[in-house]
Amino acid sequence: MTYERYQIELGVLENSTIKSKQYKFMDMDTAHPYLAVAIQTNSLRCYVVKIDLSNDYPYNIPKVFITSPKPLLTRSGGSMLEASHSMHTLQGENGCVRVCHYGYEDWAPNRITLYQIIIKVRIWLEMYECHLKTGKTLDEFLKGANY
Amino acid sequence: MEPIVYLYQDHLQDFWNSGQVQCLGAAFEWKGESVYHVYIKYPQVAPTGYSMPCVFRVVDAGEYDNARDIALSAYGSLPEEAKRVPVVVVCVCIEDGNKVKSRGFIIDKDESVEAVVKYVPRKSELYTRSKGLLEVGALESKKVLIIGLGSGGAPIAVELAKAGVGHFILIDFDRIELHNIARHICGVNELGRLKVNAVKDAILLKNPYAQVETYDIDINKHLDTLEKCIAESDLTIVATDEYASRYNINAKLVKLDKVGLFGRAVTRAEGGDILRVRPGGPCYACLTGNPIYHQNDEITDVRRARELGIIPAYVSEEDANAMVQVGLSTDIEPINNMMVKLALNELSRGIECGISSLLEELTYDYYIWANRRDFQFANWAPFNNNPKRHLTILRWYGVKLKKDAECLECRK
Repeated sequence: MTYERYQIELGVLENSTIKSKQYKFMDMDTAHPYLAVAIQTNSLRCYVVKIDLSNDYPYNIPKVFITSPKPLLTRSGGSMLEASHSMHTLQGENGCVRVCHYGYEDWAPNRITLYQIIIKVRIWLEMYECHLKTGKTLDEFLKGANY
Repeated sequence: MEPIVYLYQDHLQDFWNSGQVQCLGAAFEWKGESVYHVYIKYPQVAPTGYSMPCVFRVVDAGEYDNARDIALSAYGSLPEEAKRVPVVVVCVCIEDGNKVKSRGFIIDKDESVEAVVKYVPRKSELYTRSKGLLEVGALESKKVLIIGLGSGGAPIAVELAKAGVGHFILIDFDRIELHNIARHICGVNELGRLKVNAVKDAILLKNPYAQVETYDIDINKHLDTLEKCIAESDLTIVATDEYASRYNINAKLVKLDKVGLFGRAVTRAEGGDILRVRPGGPCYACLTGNPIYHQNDEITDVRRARELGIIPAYVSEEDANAMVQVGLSTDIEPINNMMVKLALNELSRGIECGISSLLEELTYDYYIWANRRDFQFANWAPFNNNPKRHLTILRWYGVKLKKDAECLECRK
């Protein structure tokens, strides 16, 4: 990520609903920079999300992982590390569930910022908790929501 | 039919300048057609045909009429192994101090047949036919960067060489593979070759004097090289198959205030589009944020589509294979053709020439073409029933694209 883009992302986050103590850009001067974000859902549960910025962000869709709790499990205690269309996940890495957020056809680096990705992950987490309560797949909640 | 021997004028000049009386070269024959190309030095492009020995021999003006005897004597001096196949002997004579003439003979054992000698001219004469329509001299000094040498970039490169563009930079990390052959300009005899080298040869076959630089790299991992190449080129042709590279190229074009043309075919080549990026105008990122743009790139290779995330990981192998739907080469050609026209327009901007009038008409930044009424073009009007002149197939539409004021890439 260029320095100019970093400044843009910071500006958007600073003017957003996300408090500055909730996020931190990590390892920015290395080959594996990422954004760590703490997200609290409506049920007051807290999750830590890692947005991987190493693969030429914003020109490639960044990988997003739930690093805490680790690993995230299904209602029945099953693994969510596999790619699943119905659960909106991609292949997990290092024991962390990888969230599917923007698809190839929706990705537009000139108008999508990290803030929007965080909002999408927040929605994913809310739906995940709905899944824990009901056993329904995330897709059943997100269907028609243009997630 | 009389045999024909093609002789490269600059090779002949080199032979004459060397002061030698006789030298060995190589000839390549198109079997059954009695056509021979002869070389004294390694040509830039690997020759085609079946190889055979060739002898170049200087002949005095007074002996020129007896060239056949001299050729037979030169043939006789060759070792026996060289005579297992026919040999081409070219006798060269300088008349009146500067007029070169030559006679060629195909000699096989005791039999000799005289051939018609034709010259492949030097640089100054190669593009005389374009004179008047295009400023050949001006294009010769232009440098074009072409990124992506598939069924889009490769033919565009060759067309620009045919038009007289003199300098190229080619970038592609891929090799010619079986699945490319049906739509690519290269054939099965080039399987496994790096595309940059194969296309370089295709350019040099049309313009042996073109200067061609090649990089077999993934530009997404070599952004400094990409920036250097864009900076030193007059025009960048973007013919890559995925958006990360397009966004990276776009960022450099915006940064350096350079001109670029982005061309692509969409799913199964049911159509395609071209974006022209000029300083101060809309950029590629402005386009992809615009509702007019469809992100449905053509998928030609499952492995690569998986890597890029175009086919998500949860899609089964069977479904993924079904998503690979390549179009016909003939459906990609209109897009390439328009790309070449726009490229020539940009390269001859400011130069009065036969295609100047196009500059006044091709003023749009974005162009759309449909080959068939499928997918995103399904609701377009039929070609043969369109009284209200709605959008229809097989014609270009120019779109005035506004610069996105909120574009994170090009807003200053």
